[in-house]
Amino acid sequence: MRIYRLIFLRELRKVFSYKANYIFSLMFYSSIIFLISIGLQGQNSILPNVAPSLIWVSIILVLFLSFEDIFQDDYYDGTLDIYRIENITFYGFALIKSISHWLANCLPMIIITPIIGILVNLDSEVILPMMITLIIGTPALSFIGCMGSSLILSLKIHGLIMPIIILPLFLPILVFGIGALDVLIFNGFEELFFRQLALLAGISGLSMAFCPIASAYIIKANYD
Amino acid sequence: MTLLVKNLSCYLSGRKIFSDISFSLKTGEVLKISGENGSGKTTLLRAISGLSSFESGEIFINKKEIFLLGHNAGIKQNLTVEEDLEFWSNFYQNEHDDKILKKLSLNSKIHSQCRYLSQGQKQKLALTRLFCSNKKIWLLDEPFSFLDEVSSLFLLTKIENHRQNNGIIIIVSHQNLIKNPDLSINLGDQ
Repeated sequence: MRIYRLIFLRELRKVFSYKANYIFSLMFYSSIIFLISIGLQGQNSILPNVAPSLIWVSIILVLFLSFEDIFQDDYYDGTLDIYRIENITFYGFALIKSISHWLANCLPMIIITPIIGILVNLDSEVILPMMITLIIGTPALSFIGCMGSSLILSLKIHGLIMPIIILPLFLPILVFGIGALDVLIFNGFEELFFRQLALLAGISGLSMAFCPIASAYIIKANYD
Repeated sequence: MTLLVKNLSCYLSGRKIFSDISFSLKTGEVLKISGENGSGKTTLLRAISGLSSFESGEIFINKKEIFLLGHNAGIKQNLTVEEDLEFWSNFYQNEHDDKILKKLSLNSKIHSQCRYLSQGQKQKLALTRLFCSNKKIWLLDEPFSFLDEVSSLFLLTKIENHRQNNGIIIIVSHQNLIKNPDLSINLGDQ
């Protein structure tokens, strides 16, 4: 456990020392929203209604940029070799990678979402539930993304392989994440909202349980 | 402690890398592996360390005691030398020696990010991890690469000390710096 804590702290140090990475991610996230808002100029009544979809889709697009090199650095700089020799389980490592990816990539976007919400005229009552759905749903994106990243571990040229494989896995998260907020916007707080939230939490829980196992298996397969 | 390799053969995509390699090393012994580029020296080291699979043969080794110094030493470009040293000394629960840093002229680079280090300095940083590890079996793949003369001599002294402290060393090197290995294998002869 001591060693996994050390690795986790090193990962956090590593991801947060790439300041440009998450600053550009936040800028890209804001830019997508800003551009679409400008595109929908003159249709201000539509914007608050489509805002949840806009925010979720933008977050997924931004995250795709960060998925590619989650494990590749460690594969090419020999870190994975060292951990394998030192008997660090790939399961533990994938878990650490997924959590640190969420902290470095999803959390900053969730934090600036209230500002983004103002930009897209999102009702102030919807902003907090929006953040809650993001907090519940985005871990699934990170965990599934890490699994996808392990698939392209040893491929120097991978193009669109990973997005094509993992995009379908993002659909349920998108459906329930947007669905919960649509219920809230159009019908107010009702049971269906909480049901959709529970389903979203279920998907995140399943991703947290199974994706690191799959990642570990895929990474190991690269060695065998 | 003994390291025993019996009839080890390795093929990659149907091409023979090496075949029927056998040797045994006892504590305090050094094996030098040589051979031309592509003759399978690194693959042999990776097979012994358990990183690469092989077609046939057996390896008897205490895996907990292995340290592999390969071409890539797990150095993170955007962490500083100090952060790297701190991580590995906590990892191996063994304080790194400031005298070694001084000897390898790394002490002045302690606050530099690893991306700004030269290849030689990166190799020295990898060596500090080796000295910090307290492992008994050293698998060294071209450890003298990029090193200046002073650092090469320092490494030679460390290898000799490790040998005298009952360590086992397998060294892949094109240079003839290891003068009296207990065993030599030339994979180019295969």
